[in-house]
Amino acid sequence: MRAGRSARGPLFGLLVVVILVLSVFPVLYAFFTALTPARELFVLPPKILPRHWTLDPYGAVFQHREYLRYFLNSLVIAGGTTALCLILASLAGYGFSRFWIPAKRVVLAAILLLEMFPGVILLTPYYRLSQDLHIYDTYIVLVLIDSGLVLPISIWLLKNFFDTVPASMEESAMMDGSSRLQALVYVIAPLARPGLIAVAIMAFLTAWNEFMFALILTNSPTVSPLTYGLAELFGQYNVQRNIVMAITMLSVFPLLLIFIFLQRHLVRGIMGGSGK
Amino acid sequence: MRTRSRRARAGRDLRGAWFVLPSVIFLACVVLYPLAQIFPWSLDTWSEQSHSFVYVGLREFQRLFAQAEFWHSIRITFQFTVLVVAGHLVIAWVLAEVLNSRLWPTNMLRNLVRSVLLLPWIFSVSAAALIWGALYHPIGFTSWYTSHLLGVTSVGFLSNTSLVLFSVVFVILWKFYPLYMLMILGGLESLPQEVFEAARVDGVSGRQSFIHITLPLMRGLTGTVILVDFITTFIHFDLVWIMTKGGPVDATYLASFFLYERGLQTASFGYASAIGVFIALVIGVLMYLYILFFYGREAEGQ
Amino acid sequence: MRFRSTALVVLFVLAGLCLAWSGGKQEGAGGSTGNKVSITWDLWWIPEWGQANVDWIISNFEKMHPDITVSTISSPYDPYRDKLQTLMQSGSTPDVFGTESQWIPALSKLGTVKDLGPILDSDPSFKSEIPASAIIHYAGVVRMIYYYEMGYHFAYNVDLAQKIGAPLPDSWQGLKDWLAAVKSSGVAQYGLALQFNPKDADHVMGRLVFTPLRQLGGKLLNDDGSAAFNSDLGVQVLEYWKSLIDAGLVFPDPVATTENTMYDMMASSTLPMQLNGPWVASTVHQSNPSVKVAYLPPFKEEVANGTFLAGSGLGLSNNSKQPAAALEFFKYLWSEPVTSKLIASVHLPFTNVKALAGPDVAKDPILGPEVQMLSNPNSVSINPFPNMEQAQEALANEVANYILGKKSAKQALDDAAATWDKLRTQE
Repeated sequence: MRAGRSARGPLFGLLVVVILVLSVFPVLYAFFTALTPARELFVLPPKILPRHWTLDPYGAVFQHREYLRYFLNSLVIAGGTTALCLILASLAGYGFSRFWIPAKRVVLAAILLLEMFPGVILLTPYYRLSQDLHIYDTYIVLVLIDSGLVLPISIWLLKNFFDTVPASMEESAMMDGSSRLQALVYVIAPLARPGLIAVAIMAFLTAWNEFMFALILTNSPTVSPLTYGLAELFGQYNVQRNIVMAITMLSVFPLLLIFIFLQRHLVRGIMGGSGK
Repeated sequence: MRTRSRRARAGRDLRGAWFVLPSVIFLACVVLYPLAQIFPWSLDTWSEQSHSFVYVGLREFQRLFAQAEFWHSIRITFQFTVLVVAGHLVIAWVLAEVLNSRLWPTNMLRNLVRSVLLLPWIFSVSAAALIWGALYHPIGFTSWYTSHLLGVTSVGFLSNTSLVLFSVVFVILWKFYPLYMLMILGGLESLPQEVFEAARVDGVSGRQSFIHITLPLMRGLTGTVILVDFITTFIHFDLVWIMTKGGPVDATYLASFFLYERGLQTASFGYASAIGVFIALVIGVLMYLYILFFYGREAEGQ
Repeated sequence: MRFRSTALVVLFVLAGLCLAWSGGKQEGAGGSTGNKVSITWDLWWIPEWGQANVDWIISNFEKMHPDITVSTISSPYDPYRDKLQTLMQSGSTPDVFGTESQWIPALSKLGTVKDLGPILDSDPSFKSEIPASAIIHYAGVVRMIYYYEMGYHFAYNVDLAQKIGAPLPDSWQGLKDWLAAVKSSGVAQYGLALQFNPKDADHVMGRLVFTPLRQLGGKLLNDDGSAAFNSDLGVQVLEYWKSLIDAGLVFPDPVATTENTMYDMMASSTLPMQLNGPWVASTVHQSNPSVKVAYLPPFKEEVANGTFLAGSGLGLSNNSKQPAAALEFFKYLWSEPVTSKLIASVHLPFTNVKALAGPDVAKDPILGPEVQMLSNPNSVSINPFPNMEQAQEALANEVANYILGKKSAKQALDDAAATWDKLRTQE
């Protein structure tokens, strides 16, 4: 299963270490800075590990009374986006994979091309629409917009994934008497689980980290997600580095948990259904 | 050995449409419809007197093309995008090859490293910008030790106009490589091993088999990576904006910044729409040429 | 097994969608229910003034006007402008909103910013409460009023200064000597940080160019608004800063230094001194209450020639659904009880003439000098003009060019002035 290359053992190991250091170092920096007391922040020469560890930065974040509410809001929005994307993208991916669609290539390309515009230009149209439809400052408006952001690549991903699942699978199920939809849900979906989980994680990530539309289209702790709530901790001038890092860690932490449990599936889903 | 029904057995039936229609309708309503207004708006200008759009034909485009700063931003955006896409390709390939190599002592170790390598992806854009802003800080960790290494008082990662573009490119490379790494890795893992075995038996060297077997087989996937990365990077806004706001002295002034500052912030919506339309056109034309050139030679089937 | 997991997935999906649909309450942007009328106030100041202060302001008003409810739209400073503009563009202009003077040209283009001239003219007692320099004109029309107005001064760390031991400076030349003393004392490696980062363009202009220029007696703008800062005095100002940087007295890489960096460093007791507004103490204390911050009294030059005045303010919506209520609230914000309370707790010069003349204010080490400078007839502020933000950016970029060694000071200022004038008269 390997496209072998002649790299020598120890040199290889060194390369791996270098790569790991480069990619993980900033994360470690953030982690330790969040545990550094203010007076050690600008010590010269700069250090990563603080002399005196403290949990004060985290304490400062939790004092923000609405933190839990923002967290729940993010959960709902990200969850809704994930649900919506899963349904739409799996149907569409399956459809593109198995069937003839008029001008399929063009439609697929057009879907991808929707991402071609700088997002800022959509702020005013979305605001207007949300007001006209009376969905301003609700969960649903963010779910719809975030889904719009993620759907194109999700469709593309699942189409590719379904392409690798032999059509004979559902054909045999259908010959046994089930409808195509039943075949999709009971036979194909379980096989396509890695792809579905990949889409789910991507959708969740995008919705969780989204800021711009959340800022413009919501206005209250009732609905605003974590990205908005944490930004509120920044006044016009007050952005202290260790608190900022604590905020960063806190917003990443739940993602990290999900990630640890599901990363195997995520990886499989993006890499394709072949192999195991 | 791939089985896929190119056309449904019963001929050109439209059953597929039922599956695809919900998504298409959704995207048409949620994305296409708001976007579509940009096109007629690009032929208008926002009148300060009447506080509404006034038709002016191509005047906003003419005004746009006359702006030296706009072409400057296009140039910077091209430099930026090329560096990012090339960088992502190299990193993704190197890491994928490393992860795919036979030299891993255990599978578990390899999977662990693979998971760790995915970390930059989870961070939000603002978190990444803040972390790297702190690292690049004049008396921050990276600057300090780099300047000591090079024997200068300080390294202006974000203030040296010749350096700043590379500094932000590096951050983009760091933040987004995991997705492309996984895509390439998936492609590598699905390559048929028999071909490589046969080549080895025939005495073909590792490098030769890479050039003559791996690369051609991975062509389609690599092409897709380039495509997706190019589109996403060309319209990039968030991360670089937080780090530099286009400065210093416009050294990192991307096209989307131009749209934002000169179009939106000045409430010149006709102008902003024209900019948006032009950027989309540029990407569209480039993509079309790219697909023609890159994929045109492949068989019609896909 | 498979059936159950599928059913679970379907249930989860449905639950998620239901929750998403039902969630959130819609806040109308103004309107009336029954006899009560509601107005919205858009502001970025809640983190700065504290929720308690804002709550008090609103509940106090609502007690006085039981038929009006005030709801706030709050966002952090950085994206505030985008949100405000989006609200305005979509027809939901907040009834009362905070604003900076450089945003006025763009906001006025939308037709949503009310002309405050008639309001001031028809209510002389209200008008007399406000210092004249706080009334801001754009294209001849009053679009906003500064809610707080001040000059920039040097804030310093008291403990570090004591350790350094040298007498505190009272003139620009004295500043240079003091910074040299910092270096030789070994207490801190650098005495000052300068924010030449073009990202903070309005601060580069206001603090680093206009403030010293005015204090040295130089002219900022001509009467017609065209640039006058590219004078010999302007060159002198830039060369002064450069000499500090070249002598190693300033934190390295000033073009990368931002305002946040300076607060951060001061809160960590690493930075002895910075040039900033009167809020340094309160901002730093939010992070580290043990740092003692004080302000240098105005320099000799400033007392003689006045200083540059800046501020942030409030505007009114032009298409408010409740104009009368909005106006009530607007005037209420300037009333003496409100401004006095804010002055005392937030420590900024809020623009009510009587409140500023209070005895406590005069004795306050931070506010006393501020108010003196406000009433100095030589102090000047500048009015917004078309493309003001771009002009500020151009100036900040040219100054950065000089600091980075790419242009001479004269060349940089001349280029900035040329761009300034071109943008000022453009459409």
